[in-house]
Amino acid sequence: MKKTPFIKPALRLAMLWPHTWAGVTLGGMLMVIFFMGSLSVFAPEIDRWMMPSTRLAAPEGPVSLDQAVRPLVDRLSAGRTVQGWFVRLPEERNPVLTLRLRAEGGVIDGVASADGAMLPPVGTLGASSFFYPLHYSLHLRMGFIGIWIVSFATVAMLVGLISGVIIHARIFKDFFTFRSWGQTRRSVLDLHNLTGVLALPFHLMISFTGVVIIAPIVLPSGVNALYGGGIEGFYNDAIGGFDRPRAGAAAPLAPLDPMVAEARRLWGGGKVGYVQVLHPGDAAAYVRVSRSTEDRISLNNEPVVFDGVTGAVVKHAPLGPVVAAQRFLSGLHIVAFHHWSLRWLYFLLGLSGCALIGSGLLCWLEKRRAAHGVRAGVGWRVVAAMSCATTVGLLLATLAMMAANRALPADAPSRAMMEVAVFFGVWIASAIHAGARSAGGPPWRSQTGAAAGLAVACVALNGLTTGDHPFQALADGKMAVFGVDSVLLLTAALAFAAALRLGRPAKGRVGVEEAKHA
Amino acid sequence: MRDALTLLAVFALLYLGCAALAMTLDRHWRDLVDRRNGPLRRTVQRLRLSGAVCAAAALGLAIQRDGGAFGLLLWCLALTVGAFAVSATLTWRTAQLRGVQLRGAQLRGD
Repeated sequence: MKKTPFIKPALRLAMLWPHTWAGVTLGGMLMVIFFMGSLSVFAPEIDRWMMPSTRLAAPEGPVSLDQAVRPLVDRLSAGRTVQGWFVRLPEERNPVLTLRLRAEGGVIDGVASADGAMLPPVGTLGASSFFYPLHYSLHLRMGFIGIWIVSFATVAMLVGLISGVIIHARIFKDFFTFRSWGQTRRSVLDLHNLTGVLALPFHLMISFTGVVIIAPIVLPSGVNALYGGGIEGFYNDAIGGFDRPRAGAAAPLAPLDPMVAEARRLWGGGKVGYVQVLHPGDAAAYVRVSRSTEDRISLNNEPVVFDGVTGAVVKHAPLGPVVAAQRFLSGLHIVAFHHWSLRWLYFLLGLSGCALIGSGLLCWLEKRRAAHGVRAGVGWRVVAAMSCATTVGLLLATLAMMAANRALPADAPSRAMMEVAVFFGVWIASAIHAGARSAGGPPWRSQTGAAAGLAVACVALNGLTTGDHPFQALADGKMAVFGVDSVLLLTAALAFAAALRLGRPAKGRVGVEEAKHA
Repeated sequence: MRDALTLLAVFALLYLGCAALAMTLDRHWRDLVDRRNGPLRRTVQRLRLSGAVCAAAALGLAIQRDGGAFGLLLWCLALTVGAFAVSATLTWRTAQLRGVQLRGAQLRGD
């Protein structure tokens, strides 16, 4: 009797075209999302690297809001009426006070050390305001358009993952197989299968939770029906829990430190993450104290709202079950917790996602090249150039931005925007270069070599401009700087090895190495 | 110190567990152990059992180290890393053995 296969060949064939199309059309986009997401796991560490004035030791005790923070708010506002202010308290990974004031005439930002001394403006967006938003919104903020595109690509990723499992005929027999020898095509396909299958739990989890975070934006009917489309009002009710208008009568703001002590008592311990003060100086002032989520997976920061004049608790309510689940899944994605082993695992598995997407694109390119023979069609050349620009090109742009961050003078006008210009300039240049040179295969070798050079330049520039070369950083306990420098040097070594390998007499080899480390 | 050792043990156990499972697969058994005969059914069962025991022990250690939520997450992700490490070992060993065999064939002059 012939055994009926669990998955019929017809289903496999039917799954092949969505897999291929999702990969070829959105692979480049997914590469950007996965690469920037992997970097964002270490955003505060990259921030320390890019903002030398904030390379401070972690504060020893809790910071007094009344003694350290309120004078800073008064100084920053410089006599203007403040409608509200926000402070994020310093902790190990982010050892600075970050202040944001909403005042007459706009928003005022400030950064201060834990003992209340103002620091000069950082002059860069850094990883937390450039790489991280690029990961989830592509910096297209208007109408949440970027978030829509990213969530569409993420759903395509889920489609790719599930259809990939169905297509893979020998999923168990080939579970651990990677044949580095023999035909390039087979090696690339092995790498694609391996990264897809072994890291499948992580990729499913990270794609699904990614969509869950932005679910209220991309599934808006509930919010539209109940809040008339006002997403802020929804978030306020779901996780913040309080809002009231200005009363118009003046009243002094009560001391904040007792409120913090009371909030900690209500939480049963834990650290304060950030504090928001709304309508200070008004009779309707209120203060929201949020818990740091560094010791838990969930992003539930249990906000406690106090009356700003009397200091009494106005609201402290647990989350509803659906919101609690959403906060947990979001936390699983965002890795706000302090757990270094998990943080590195997220980083590495995120890069394995890059390897998965990159090897998928290479697979398609190699197969089509075999089918078309020597003459490459326009479609092939476009995908070839895009693959190169979104793997090595993206790495080049990132490294160029970090190099520019250390090379530009500290007082250059609109320094942060110049760095962004360097990022996009280098990226576009690499895409044009790849497009112009892609007839016989994209310029993997020259771009990989350039990436190796730039990574070394980043480490050298950091050592020259700040004095924190890797050994000094290690001796001073600046682990964030040491870590970023080490990863940069490792990138340089890998890129250099890849460039050398690609330089060998061609045996139909298209850079597998890029996909591995890009 | 104890935390670091536990972490190392979690990774090591998952690596061993994945290695045991990998050896139940015909291809890797033939590449590394016996070219002519695949693994016996009894061997496969024993390998699977030891793989499961290693994975369970690692899960226990991970939860004991980090608590339920963090421990389970650590175990899941470390399992993937263990599997990648086994895959790398298999590739390296197989390529090495093949290289030796090829050279042997060259020496014999055929």
